[in-house]
Amino acid sequence: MLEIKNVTKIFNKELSADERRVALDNVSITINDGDFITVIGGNGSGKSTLMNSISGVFPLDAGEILIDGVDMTHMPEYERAKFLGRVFQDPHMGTCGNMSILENLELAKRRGKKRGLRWGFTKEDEEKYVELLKGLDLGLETRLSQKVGLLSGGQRQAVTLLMATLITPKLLLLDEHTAALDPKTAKTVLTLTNEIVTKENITTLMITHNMNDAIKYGNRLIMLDHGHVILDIAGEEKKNLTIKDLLKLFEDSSVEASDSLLLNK
Amino acid sequence: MQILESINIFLAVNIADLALTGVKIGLIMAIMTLGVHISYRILDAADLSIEGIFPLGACVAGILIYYNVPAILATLIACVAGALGGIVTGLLHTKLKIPMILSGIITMTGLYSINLALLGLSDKNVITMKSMTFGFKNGLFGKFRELIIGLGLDNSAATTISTLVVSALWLGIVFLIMYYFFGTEVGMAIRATGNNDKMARAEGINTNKMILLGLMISNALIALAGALFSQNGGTSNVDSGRGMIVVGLAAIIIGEAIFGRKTYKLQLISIITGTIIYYLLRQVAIELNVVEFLDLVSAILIVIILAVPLIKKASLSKKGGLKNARN
Ligand SMILES: Nc1ncnc2c1ncn2[C@@H]1O[C@H](COP(=O)(O)OP(=O)(O)O)[C@@H](O)[C@H]1O
Ligand SMILES: [Mg+2]
Repeated sequence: MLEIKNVTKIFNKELSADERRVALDNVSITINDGDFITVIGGNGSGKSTLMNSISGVFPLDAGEILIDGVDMTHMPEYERAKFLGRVFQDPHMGTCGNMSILENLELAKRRGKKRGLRWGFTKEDEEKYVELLKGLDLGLETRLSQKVGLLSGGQRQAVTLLMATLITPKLLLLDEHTAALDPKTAKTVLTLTNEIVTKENITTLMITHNMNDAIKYGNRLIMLDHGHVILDIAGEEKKNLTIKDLLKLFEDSSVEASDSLLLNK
Repeated sequence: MQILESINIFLAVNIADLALTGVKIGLIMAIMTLGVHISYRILDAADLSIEGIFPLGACVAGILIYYNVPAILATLIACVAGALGGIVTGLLHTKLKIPMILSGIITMTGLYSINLALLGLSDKNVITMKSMTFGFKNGLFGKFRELIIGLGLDNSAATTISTLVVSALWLGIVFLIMYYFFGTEVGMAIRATGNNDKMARAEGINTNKMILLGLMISNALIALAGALFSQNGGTSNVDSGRGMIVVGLAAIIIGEAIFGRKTYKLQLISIITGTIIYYLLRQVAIELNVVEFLDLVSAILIVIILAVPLIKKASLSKKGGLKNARN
């Protein structure tokens, strides 16, 4: 479904070698229809860069990205949006705080569609949104006309999730979308995510900093380290994975990294 | 007849005159403020080209009327010129990545020469005067006055009524269009772009296009106000945009202080009222012979109001800090 082929992304390319950041180094991943992939890796290992490469936030330094065989390597960010649903780490990022819940949902409803001079609201939409918001069980169904800026972080993330999946995307991208929430809210939002993803069978890439969640959710797990994929397992193998295995991998990879540093000297 | 006579008497009263002048200019300038509102509030883009776009509207309309183009057509062409000016600023910003403030200043600076050149198309000496007179009677207000003067009003009453009616009409049209437009799919996309451009792109909105479109509309309105303003005086002046940004922001802030920003309709009404209040105050300042201080007062007012949220925040975190220190 989505093919990431030999993608390299270097930040600060114009600066000196030690200030340059190779965020992704020749990464290739093929995402299959229906995959629910969890992505883990240390800070700065390139997880967000992977997601931003897919969504077209910046141009790549090498490699290509295809969705259903269509090359979208040079497609602008707003055009790719028609394939993607995105939820960011920062709850402020995915919604317009100055606009109402209703307006935000109406914006999301037209993702990937042509926007014209039609009136932006309909009665049917509103009824549909009320039903969907009821499903969140956060009491938001009575607050449709309130500005999103008045909501709590967890409520905002739940609304963003709803927006990202309002039109079922080909691929749902979640970048540590519960990291900024308190543990209880994080759990609620994560459960909700799992519900939506499995119910609609949405192909999903979920970055998480929590190894438990990475193991618990999804059918496939990818681990990044210094811009490389160092683990990509699925099915039974993933089911049998334990935290201990992951921790060991983490240690090994950092040993490997420091070894290579020593060798360079 | 008796009603007309009493209208004439009413208009002769000085204080009413002062208020009327304020309202008259306020109604025209409210169109400018609505334009400023689009760039500053909706797009969150500090577009400084206003000071060149406003006189652009005045000069385009002025020179066209000077050459006998119908006033209504001249006014509409002035709007188009303003929209083109907005495209220039927008392209400088989105394509050449020049910061918004600088893009606006570049447009404004370039427009000064263009405006002078436009007025130079007349047979008048515009270099020393920086202005060109085409006559009140040839503009929109003058033409409307011709229509109603037959009703038996005296000249000055007809002038006042014509100015009030025609500017209120334009303002009304602008109000309705804006109210509808920013509730449409495209209008909402522009608002989203100004509010959170990253989210807008994630929702499939071409943010650069929306910035361009927003600036076009904003500047078309500002040029419209310039065109009407010049026709109210019968003169186009290349310096007529001076201080316009401060006026626009002050008017927006005054309006918001009174009405708040609860609904969009209320926001539009508050902008219009704020502008009229601003020009009433300005008339008072002229009467008291202190008008030269008004811009300074407005500038200080804007600084204070913009600083209030920051000061509040700072004092809050300071309090928090003290509490923590005590614990
Ligand atoms: N916009 C940027 N400019 C410069 N360096 C960046 C930028 N974004 C990410 N990086 C660098 O690229 C590397 C990978 O970052 P990122 O993908 O954000 O990591 P993760 O999400 O796994 O924590 C890090 O070294 C980071 O400092
Ligand atoms: Mg990250």
